[in-house]
Amino acid sequence: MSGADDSVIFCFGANHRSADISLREKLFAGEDVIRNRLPTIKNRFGFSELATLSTCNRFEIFGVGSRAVTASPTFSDTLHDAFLSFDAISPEAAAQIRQAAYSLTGRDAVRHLFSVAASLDSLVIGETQITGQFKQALAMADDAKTLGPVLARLGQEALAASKKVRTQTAIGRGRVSIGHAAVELVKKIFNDPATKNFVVIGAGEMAEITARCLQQHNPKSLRIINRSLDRARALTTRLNCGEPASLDRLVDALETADVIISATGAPHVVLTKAMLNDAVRRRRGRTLLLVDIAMPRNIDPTCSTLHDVYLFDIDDLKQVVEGNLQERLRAAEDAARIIDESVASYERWRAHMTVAPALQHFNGHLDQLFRREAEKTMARNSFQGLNEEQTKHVWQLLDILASRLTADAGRGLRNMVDEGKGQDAAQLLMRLFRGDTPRNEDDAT
Amino acid sequence: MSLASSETLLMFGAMLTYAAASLLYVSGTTKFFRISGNAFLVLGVTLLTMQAQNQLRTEGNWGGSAAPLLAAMIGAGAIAADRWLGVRLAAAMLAPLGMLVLLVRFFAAPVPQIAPTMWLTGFHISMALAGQVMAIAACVLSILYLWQHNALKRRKIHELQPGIPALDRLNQWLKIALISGFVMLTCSLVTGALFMTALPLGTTAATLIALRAKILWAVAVWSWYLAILVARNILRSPARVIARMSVVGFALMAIAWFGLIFFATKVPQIAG
Repeated sequence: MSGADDSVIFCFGANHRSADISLREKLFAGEDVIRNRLPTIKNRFGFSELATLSTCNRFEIFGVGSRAVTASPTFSDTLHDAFLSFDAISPEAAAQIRQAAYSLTGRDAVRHLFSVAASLDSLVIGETQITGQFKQALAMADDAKTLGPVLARLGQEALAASKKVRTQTAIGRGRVSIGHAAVELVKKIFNDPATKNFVVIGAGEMAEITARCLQQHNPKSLRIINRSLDRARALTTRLNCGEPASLDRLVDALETADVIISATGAPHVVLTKAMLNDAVRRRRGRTLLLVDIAMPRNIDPTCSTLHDVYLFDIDDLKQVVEGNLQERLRAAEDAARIIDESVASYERWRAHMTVAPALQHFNGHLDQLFRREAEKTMARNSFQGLNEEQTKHVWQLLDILASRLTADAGRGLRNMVDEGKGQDAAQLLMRLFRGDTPRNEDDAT
Repeated sequence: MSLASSETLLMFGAMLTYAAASLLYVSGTTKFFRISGNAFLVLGVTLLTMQAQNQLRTEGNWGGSAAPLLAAMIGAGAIAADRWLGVRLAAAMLAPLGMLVLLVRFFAAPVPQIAPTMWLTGFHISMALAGQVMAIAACVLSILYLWQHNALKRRKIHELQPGIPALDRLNQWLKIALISGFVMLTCSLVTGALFMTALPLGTTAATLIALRAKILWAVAVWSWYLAILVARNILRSPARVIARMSVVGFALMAIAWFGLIFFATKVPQIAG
């Protein structure tokens, strides 16, 4: 037999667990590189299907190879070579990759790919970006004509499992980054962040990450206040939004802001209670949220005693993040059960695929047999009187009979596959109804 | 002391204008609310002046015009406080006070002059009920607000209930519940004044006592909600304080309501 039954799914790669960032940086390949090289690598190494998933946390190649190729003792080297073929890297890095890479085949590879698509293998469990990246990997393989029925079905099932995991478990609930946790907090106090005035104090890395999170909610205004006006200006340029201001404008901002997030590297308090006390009087009862994610803290902790002022620091946000992460880890256990079920379903489909060639032969045999016998019958005098419409109906009847017989045989075969007797049954079917066997005229009568 | 029909209408009209002015003063601080409130008060003072002139012409003395004249002076004071002195708080307190003075005048009048229609009866009852429903809503919203507020102030983020709307949304809904509840209670109170003038001559002392207790309760609840709105919209008290006042307001209303039921059952014995 040939085709899907003889094929094995494989996966080879390095991820955030097996390789550090400096090594992963060397593995990263852009979309164009992947699209160009996929067909070449597929043909060069004799794979029947091939795809690549390249993200900042992983670089994996996965595909389908014949059992003969994957059973070879040098298959690991083959994969390693194929893996490195995506980009020219130094010999030292190649040696490092040999240490860091993992190689999976068969059910292990399938399970791994399902887990990746469902974000169970991500650095931040439950993040949503990976599902899109997985889809993109399949789309690139499709564009490069290296995606076949096995990987296409695998992708389809993996994405369906991912959706199930996301909707049936708490895997994606709760934010797990400080920036997002700050935004979540804003939403607890202000129903619509888009109508609020935000101020970010600082222009460093944390300030930028937070400002980017805020930017996603299209705030009414975003002011970046920093000791150095140039750095504030540079940040607003990078963000392509916001208004830069120097630190001496902070007192003015206290009156109009709804949310102030402080993320400076200053070793002292930037916002004192005295500064805020005057502002609170002028604000006339409007709520103010202060989020201090700086270390050491930039906002005087006693500010929280003022009316209509809510103050949170990085420890409060970490509580939220850690709580959410714990919840996701608990949800991952439920998700693993869903993945197991989906992998089993996919494996069943693959097993059913092993009898597909036998069924095709059977269907072809029936088709040939019916056509031959029908032609003989039509040639007899008694059928000479049939008009075109009647002849068409006779042919249609024969086609339906062939399809029904094939469907019944298929159902029976699949049941036997589930019972573990699929291969024997398929071989028997092939032997019983060999399409190429010349037929004896006596047998026919 | 009786209320002649035309005088009653003039006073009732004036009371309505005072009620409208009160609502406008405590609902917002923008120019629209102030100018509209002043306009209603000017109309109210005019009606009361007409009523006093009527009284003087028909009875030849000012005897029955003490309350309308007092209310007119209060109304003029409210306009002056808002228009020339710029004291919003005084205007917001004087206009409702003028309304209460007129209300007392109605409640004190024993002779029926205006027969309330079925429509008016239905309106009075439905406004009273709707006002109480709004008070319940304000109480529930306040409890939710205080719950979330306390969790946020104590930085207990995990105590925040996920299904509860954001604080500013709760605060907004609370404002709507308080203003609409106050409008409904005012309507109920003002229309209730007409029922007092429509009491049959043979009304027993027990019924009168029970009714006056009910009026006292209604006026007390109305005054409390007026105080909440003044604190919120004029004094700009923190939302937390307003929420607490709303809970207290509801508690007062509930206690007074049950007290009233209890009192009503005892009144015949007391009166008898």
